[in-house]
Amino acid sequence: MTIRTVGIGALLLASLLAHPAQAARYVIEIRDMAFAAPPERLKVGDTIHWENKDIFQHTATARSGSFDLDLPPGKGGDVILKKPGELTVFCRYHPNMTFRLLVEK
Amino acid sequence: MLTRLFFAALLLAPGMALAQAQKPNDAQIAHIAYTAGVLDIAAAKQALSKSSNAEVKDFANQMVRDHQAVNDKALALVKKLNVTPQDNATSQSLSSAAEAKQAELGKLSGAAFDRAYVANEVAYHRTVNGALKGTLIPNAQNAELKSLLETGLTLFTAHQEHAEHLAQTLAK
Repeated sequence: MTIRTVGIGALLLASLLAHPAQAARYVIEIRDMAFAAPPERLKVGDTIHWENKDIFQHTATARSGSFDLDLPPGKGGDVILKKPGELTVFCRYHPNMTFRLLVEK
Repeated sequence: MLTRLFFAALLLAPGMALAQAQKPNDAQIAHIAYTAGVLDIAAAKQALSKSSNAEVKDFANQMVRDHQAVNDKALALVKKLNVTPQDNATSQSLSSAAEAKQAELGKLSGAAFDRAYVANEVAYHRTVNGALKGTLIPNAQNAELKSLLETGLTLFTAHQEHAEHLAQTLAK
């Protein structure tokens, strides 16, 4: 019992130590009908928080279909990056608002 | 009804409509910008009632949403600044032109309507962008009004690009 508990405790501690150091959270603002520049290095597990600073309704929608966030004016939303690769993100309402994210393993 | 003359007057005599409001004051500028939004919303509502093309409807819905957002902001701003938007020759010619255009579009249906609506949206946004850049923004005295007009210009430019893209799709 005790050994098992300690074992689990150690595992938990190890995972706590390992993961928070890796996963980061980035904020990308939408302002004046444009997405702010994305961070240069993104990794699987990172979170992107989109924040709509415009007075217009926007979305952050992955061309691949992996996410589609509705972003009313003044609101935000999170996406956790699950797969490595290049992601094209656009606004469904303003399709000329588009940008690319490069997600590393 | 609201868009034809608008288009005609502005395209055929772009200098004329705006020349009447050379050096417009802030109350007139607010009125012109607000009117331009109202007219585009009216055109979009006509498209929503007449079109069955999903892309055209999406575009029209976007026009309603965005222009309403700008106009809500504009109303809040004039209230805050205690300015009463002032009717003027430019607003009037915009309105009468738009009314005629809407009558013209009203006679069309199906793909012909879609193409004519979108073509007019391209021209309309181009015209309004020209007015914003050349007349309204440079003459706006109040900083907040100027900033809102600049936001409007960014928005209208995006709408123009969207309409141009849509026009190409519909031409295929």
